[in-house]
Amino acid sequence: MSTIVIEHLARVEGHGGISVELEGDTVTNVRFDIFEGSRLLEPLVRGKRYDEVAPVLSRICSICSAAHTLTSLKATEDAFGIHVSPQTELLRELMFRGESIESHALHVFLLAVPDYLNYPSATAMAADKPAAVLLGLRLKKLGNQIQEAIGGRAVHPVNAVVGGFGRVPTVDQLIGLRSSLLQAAADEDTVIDLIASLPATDFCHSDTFFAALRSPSHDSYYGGDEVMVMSNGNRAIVRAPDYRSLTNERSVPHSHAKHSTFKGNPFMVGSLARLTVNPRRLTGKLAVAMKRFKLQLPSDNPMDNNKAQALELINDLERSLEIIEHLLRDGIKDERAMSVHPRAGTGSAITEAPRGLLIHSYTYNEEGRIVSADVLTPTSLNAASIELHLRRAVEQCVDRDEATLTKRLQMIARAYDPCISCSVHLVRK
Amino acid sequence: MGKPTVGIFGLTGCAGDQLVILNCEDRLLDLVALIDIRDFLMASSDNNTQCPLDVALVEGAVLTTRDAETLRAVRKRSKILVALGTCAVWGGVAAMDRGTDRGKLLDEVYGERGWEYDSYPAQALHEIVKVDLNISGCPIEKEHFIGTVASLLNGDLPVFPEYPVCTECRMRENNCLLIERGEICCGPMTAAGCNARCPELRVPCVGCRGPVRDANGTALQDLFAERGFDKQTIAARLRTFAPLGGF
Amino acid sequence: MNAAAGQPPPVAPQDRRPVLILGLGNPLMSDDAVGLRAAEMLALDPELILRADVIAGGADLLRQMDQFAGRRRVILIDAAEGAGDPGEISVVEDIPCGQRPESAHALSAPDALDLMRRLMPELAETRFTWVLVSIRSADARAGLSPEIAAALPKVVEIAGALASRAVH
Repeated sequence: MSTIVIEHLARVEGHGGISVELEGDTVTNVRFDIFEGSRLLEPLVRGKRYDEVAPVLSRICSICSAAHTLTSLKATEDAFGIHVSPQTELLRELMFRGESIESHALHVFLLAVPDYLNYPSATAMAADKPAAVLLGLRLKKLGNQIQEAIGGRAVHPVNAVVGGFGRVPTVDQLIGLRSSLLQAAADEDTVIDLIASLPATDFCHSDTFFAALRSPSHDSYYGGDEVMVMSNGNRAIVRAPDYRSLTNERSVPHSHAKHSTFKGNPFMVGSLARLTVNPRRLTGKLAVAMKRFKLQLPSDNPMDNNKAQALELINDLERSLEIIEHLLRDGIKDERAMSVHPRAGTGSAITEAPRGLLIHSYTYNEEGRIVSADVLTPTSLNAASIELHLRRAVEQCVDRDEATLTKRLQMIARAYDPCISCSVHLVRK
Repeated sequence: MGKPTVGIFGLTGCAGDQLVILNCEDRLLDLVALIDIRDFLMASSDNNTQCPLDVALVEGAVLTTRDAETLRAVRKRSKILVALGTCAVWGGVAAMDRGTDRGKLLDEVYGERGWEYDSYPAQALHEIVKVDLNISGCPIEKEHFIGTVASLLNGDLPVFPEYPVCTECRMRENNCLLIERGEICCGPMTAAGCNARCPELRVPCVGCRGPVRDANGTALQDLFAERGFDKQTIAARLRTFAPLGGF
Repeated sequence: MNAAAGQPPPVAPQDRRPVLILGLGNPLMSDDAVGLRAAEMLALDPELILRADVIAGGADLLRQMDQFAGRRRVILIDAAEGAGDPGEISVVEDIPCGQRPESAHALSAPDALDLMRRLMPELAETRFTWVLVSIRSADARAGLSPEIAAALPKVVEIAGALASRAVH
């Protein structure tokens, strides 16, 4: 029996990474250990009052900070029966877009593209193609700017509170963002050219279940409370309060991690899932991009998640501009956050964070303090699917030399854009 | 078990904290019934300067070799050493000019023979000896002293609030002097315990109780900067009571 | 080139802004927060703040991209794994990088810095120094472990001294 162990991917749990065990030609075990969000995060918020919850959770992850904050607020508002204003929903959607731009730009240009072009790292690629890396950084910065303007602060969006916002952005801030977004239009074309020119990656195919938030407009990260799970034309709906049917944690044979499966099936969340579950007739640049990327839906190739992210990146830029134009046209109202009357009860919220479905669910007591909390990150939801695809990649890899196999497994894991130790960024020596 | 033996000492300071103890007046008598004060120079002429002590409370900062010697001797004879007041805990106002040229300062103040004075930059007690408990305040709150004695009698150490003055201020439903009136109030970085006495009177907090644990220094800098206070002004405020900078 | 009469001498590009101390870390991942905590304490030092900017930077170095240009010296305080016993402090100028990151979240601070320096010519004259605190691991917990808390005053002292010396 031989074992291939790749990298240390999970620092929080202390052990893990990708581990594949083979007996002869048979894959006997595939393991992918990740940050089990709920277990570790719950102690941090238990006993906290409703206004303290989101600030704590926003600090878990600097890139997912806005998503955690807003999903947390949504869950609390659900528990207390608070309905925020349409303007608040629009501003929150804009924050999600900004975060998605930041996250996708970073992942696509600093991680995925070097993989496709056979560079060991973004730094190595920067020597040959500085423009590509600078593009990624520029777009990341734009994503940050959007989040700062709406969220109020560079590192933690303190401006988003239960019931709304502390202070709405000013017209000048919106005009500034609009100007930056208009300039980014040229960058969108560069993104399309670059991604379209990437070599094909064809080493893993597997019928895949996808799960994503079903939004009324088919295009929303924040609004909506139904998840659609689909595969091969079969669909099922899961409503927010019933999120546990997505996360029945059970031991899957040949694997250690507690997995999320839907009716026994692993499912994938993230950009590819969103595109698959919410089909829209794409127009303009998006249609062009789709065609040039040669992206066909539904896809059975997990590497397509990278292309899907690039597509979403363009959509996020366009959609952000749309939202800002809308706010400028209608005039931004100086609304205060709605007043909060805590009550005992449970609230659940599902949103689409950049790397997939994010779920927060809280139970409060009558004082408005947390009794129990559940946080499911997209990466934990993806664990079963990642293992499945890793297994398939090994099975479908005819030439079993370790170097090739290792590279392919890494590429698949990275295509999922895993948020592993999403907050620990230790210097490693 | 007999009554715990207690000593109360003052190094270089205004003796204000010792005064607070004396000002406990009627309650002091009750306290004295429960503890055995063996060495309290300010209050008594009959002192035992050698005996071992269960608890020693020391006020003031260390500014002379003599202070340091006294402190070391007290530490040696005591099971528990309590730093009493902001000078003892943080260096206090005596430490305000720690950055400047001491020689020059002595010269300015004392003239030509300034250099002969046994005087060096003020140090907090913990910079010289191990300290078991800190009671900050300038002066300390009466209640904190009494509470400390009660805890010690129970074999416990007291717990002081680890949140800033702002918390107490808001609980008294005051308008925020910093946010709403643009005044340079040090509440956000100062340890609570005084029940926001000054802001309650519309006087900005000067930070006399020393920095709160986990003070959010960088956020505070941003906050002050946003309100147009220049670094000189901020530094002057910070320097007044806790020039050692936050721990 | 002589300065015109009555004009102050031109300021070198590297002196447009003061020395920067940047503490990195996540306050909810126990010892990972050491850089942040050190920055919070340094920001309350009245002498230091007159000469240096102190920022608590979070866990994403790339977000601080705009903070570096125009400075002669940047001091970064961060947690390090596998660099010695917990609480051990090392001061380094260059950290070997190029370790392939597993995810965008794991783009390590040295990698991010290396990337920025290669892409931004304006950082050519800026000197970066790391003050690294060795930790054992970081769990989801608020508060530092005792060994790291004990090392904090020394971290503050070292970073403060580096910043003060850098001014002259």
